[in-house]
Amino acid sequence: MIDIELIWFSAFGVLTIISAINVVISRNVIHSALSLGFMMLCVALLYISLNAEFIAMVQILVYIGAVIVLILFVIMLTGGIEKTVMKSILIPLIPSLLFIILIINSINVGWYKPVVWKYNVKDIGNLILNEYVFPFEVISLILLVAMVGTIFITKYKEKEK
Amino acid sequence: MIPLEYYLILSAILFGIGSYGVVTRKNGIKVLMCIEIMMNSANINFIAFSRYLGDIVGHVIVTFSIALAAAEAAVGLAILLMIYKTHKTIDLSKVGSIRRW
Repeated sequence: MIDIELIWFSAFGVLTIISAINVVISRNVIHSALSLGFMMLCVALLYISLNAEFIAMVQILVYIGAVIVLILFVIMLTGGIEKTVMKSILIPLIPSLLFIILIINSINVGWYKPVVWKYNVKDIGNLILNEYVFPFEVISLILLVAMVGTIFITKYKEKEK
Repeated sequence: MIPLEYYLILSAILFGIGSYGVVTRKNGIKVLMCIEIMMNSANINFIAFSRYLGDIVGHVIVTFSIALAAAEAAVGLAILLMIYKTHKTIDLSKVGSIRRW
């Protein structure tokens, strides 16, 4: 019995991990931005196997369509080769400790029980506009503040003394 | 359905890679990209728990989280552009302050 979800998960999970590693270790920053886009695409395909089609489309639109393009523009404006890398042994112990703690907490969850999925995009809209309307308004205010702040920071000129 | 632990382990591996990149890389843009990887791993956790609990609230939270990530990327990249204008570099070990003294 071949489980199609297991095949889907292993293929795109391995691709996600490989491209995430390439984001970190690649010296050319353009290459790491493009692998970040590929990683976002693979994560969106994993969302599809988790019955989250709306989130997958939002991920593709927002991340690949907006964030990656913004990152690529900034790389082109600032020059794209990473010259120096931190040579320290003690500092990477912190993320490896964090990683070990996360793995230990992840392997014995034991919440595996099959549930029926009966929702679609309509329920997301109902929840956003009824029960979670206050966080929704706060998010739109944050987006406005971020837009104004971005324009102010990039147009700011220091006075000559 | 495959077990929930597979998704949790994938998300833990992504979080480890992202935090390793944040603490070891010096290019500012690459640090921002590693923060995006960590946010994605948190989103995978939200969606997986939402699927395996049969509750759709996780999707709403992930929608908000994606909007926040976009705002964070815009502001962070604007700050990096500002640093590049004043210092002519985005190497975070050479940048002490945003103002040019």
